[in-house]
Amino acid sequence: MTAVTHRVIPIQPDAGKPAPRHIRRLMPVNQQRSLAGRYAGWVKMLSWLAFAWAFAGWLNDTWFYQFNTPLWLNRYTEYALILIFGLWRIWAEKNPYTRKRLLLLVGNVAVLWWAIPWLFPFIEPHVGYLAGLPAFPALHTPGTITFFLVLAAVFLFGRRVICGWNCPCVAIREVVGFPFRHNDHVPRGTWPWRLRHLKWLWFALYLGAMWAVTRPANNTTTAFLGFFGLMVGLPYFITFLLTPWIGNRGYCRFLCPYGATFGLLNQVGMFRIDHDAKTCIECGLCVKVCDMNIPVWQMGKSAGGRVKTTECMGCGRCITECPTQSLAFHDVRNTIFPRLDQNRPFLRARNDWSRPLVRLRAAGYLLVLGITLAGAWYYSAQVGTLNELPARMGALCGLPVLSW
Amino acid sequence: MWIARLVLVVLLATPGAAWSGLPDPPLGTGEHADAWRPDPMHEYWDPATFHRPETGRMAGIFAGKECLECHAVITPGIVKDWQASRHATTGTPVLCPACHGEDHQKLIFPTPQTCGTCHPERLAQMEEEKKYGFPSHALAMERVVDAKHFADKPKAEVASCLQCHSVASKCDSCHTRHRFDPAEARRPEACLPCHSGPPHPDDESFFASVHGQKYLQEGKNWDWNRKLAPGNYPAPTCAYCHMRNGNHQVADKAVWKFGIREINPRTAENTIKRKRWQETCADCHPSGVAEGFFAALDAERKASWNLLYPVEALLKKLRSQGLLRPSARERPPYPMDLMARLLPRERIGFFEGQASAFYNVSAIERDYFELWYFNSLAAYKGMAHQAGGYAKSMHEKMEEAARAIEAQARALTEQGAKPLDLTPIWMEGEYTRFNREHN
Repeated sequence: MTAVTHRVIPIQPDAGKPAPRHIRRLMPVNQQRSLAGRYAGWVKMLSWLAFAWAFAGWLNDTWFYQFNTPLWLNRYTEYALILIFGLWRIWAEKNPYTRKRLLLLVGNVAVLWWAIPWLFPFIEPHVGYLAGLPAFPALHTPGTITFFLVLAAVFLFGRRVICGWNCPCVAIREVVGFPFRHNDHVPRGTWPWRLRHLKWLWFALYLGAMWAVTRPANNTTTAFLGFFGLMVGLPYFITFLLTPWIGNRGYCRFLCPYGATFGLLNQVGMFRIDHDAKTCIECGLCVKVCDMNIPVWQMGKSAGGRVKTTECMGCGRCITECPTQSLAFHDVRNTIFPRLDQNRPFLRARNDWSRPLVRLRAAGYLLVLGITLAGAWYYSAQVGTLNELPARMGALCGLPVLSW
Repeated sequence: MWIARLVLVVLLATPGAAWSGLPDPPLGTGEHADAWRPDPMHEYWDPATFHRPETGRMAGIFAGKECLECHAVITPGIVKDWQASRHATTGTPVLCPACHGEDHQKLIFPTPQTCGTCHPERLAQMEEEKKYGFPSHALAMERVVDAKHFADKPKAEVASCLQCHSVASKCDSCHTRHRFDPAEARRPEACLPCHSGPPHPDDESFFASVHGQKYLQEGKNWDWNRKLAPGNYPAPTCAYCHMRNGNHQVADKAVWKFGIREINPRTAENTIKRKRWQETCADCHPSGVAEGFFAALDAERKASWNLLYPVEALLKKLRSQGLLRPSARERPPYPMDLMARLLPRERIGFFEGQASAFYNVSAIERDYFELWYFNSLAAYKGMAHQAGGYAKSMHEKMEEAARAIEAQARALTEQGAKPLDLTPIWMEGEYTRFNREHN
């Protein structure tokens, strides 16, 4: 048995030579990858202007009401920008799994958040709208089912169900804010990591809002909900403009109350990232590619291979970039299929269009979006004044047989 | 260990709470239920909560016609009204016990829910208004009893609020008892007792329009027994448009509501509401006519806000200079208004809650209140009712008021506000104190 000896190579400064200047190599605009690159100033300016435009759209729709302008300025401006930048970003993305995620993210935002509310307007019930009214099941039943299905899905698959795949807030920060992913802009390290707890303040406000909507409308509940709306809306849009200083994910990391809710379910649910300390070479790439600044491998190492955190929104960059396949998603599917390993090759193959299953899934997704659009078109003609509602109550609940 | 502690706390807390005595049930209703108690008239305004049947005399069960034998003599008016109503003349008459109960010791005052047993779709339509938030007939009662000054002020001073706001709990606000005549409720006069005066100038603004003038000239000859349907009336009146086809849901087309806050006429909700207006106008006018009215109304509202915002800013400037006298610090706040006591501040504009601060303010604040609330509202109602001339005269009034406020502000800035000797007028004194203690 021979003793392993470590060779010590002393690093000697090159005395007399000037230190090499840091070479600032810029990323071309048609290339994006998990490890953030530096982008040219004009790209950053374009991105920031798009953020400002989206903010102006919201301001106009909530405050200024100047509609006779040549610019398109309303609450849907943001979603249009997501679509435009999204297409650019999908084209430029080099990580196949991220590209697939962006395809779904942009598709969901364009259809579920933009096309349906814009084309098929619907009256949302006022806070404190009491139960037991004929029209209530029409909205309440699908709303309740959706609400609890989403919570169940987050419990089973993790916070990425919403944050990663169906969130306009994440979408605009991913596709418009991409030039600000680099460490030049993103605060990293211990204190920014601690600041993540700031969002629990907003979460408390959110709990208050959930309480308020269950109460009959009165001065207190309506005032509180207005306050809550401002407390969420203003930081949401102001962080757009602060992106160069707080990174593209500043809002998600520090302030988002909905992310906090899903994060809680992330913590108690079945989702985690498995980390294999035996194969991990501690290169730190997983931390560098993480937009949420999660110390992935350190957490994995200290928690016995299980990274369970409220922060992870499941972009999968750490896994798909891990050079030794030491990381893998773990969710309800691993319970059902014990041999499943959602590691780097598994995730990358999710966007391999030569595989029939991938094409089938894409067709299924398009079918679901199409059915949703068609349903919105159908019901937008059905839902009208109350005179029409009692007769159509059954149909609106999704049970045509109950119509009379 | 902590589980054991938790169990111990739960076990001790329950009997502990019971032993210490639970709070008495509040006497009033709403958010400030503990702070006020009802006066006898409340059993009329909110019978479901406050009606206590008269006991001690006339014990017995009376069915149908037996009631009439006495009441034709004691209260002949209501019997005659009932005899003229459809309740009496229909195949199987709807007799007194149907609504009031049979037991004379346990008589009830009918509520909308009582009427809803036979007219469920009308009740459902009215309840549906809650979906649209404030202001609405269905939520009118909450709006009163949840107001701090309602709970706080002597009941004698807020007695009149409920005369109109009780519309939420009384069908006979419009269909007066015991005739319950639909023809009566279809006429504009059914709306006018409440929809008149500065905070709802619906009468003036409507009667200034062509529709209103036509009604004033010919309305007495129209057959009001006909349904509110196209072709039945030569001109529309309140109910024809706002309760189209007799829909008891009156909020489903309300976009600007009280007009005291600038709103976005292009939200999803308002887009739908405007579509409904277009359909309503299309009963008589070529479709598309409404578009022109919307454009005129939007322009009118924009002009109003362009006038109002600088005046609001002027008042806020005076406030920051300390020129609003008496200042909030010098005025006696409502005892229950804790925030006003901790942080006295003159409330200016919609978002600071000036809509509920029109008493107990300085003169210039009150002037702005009338400009911002009453005059602007009248201008908007005029334009919405297509009474362009009325709207124009209201705009002239607004400009005049704005000039007067500016002149007053200039005088205050130049001369400084005079400190006033505030003799308590209505917030203090024997009468008020007595009422507050016996509230």
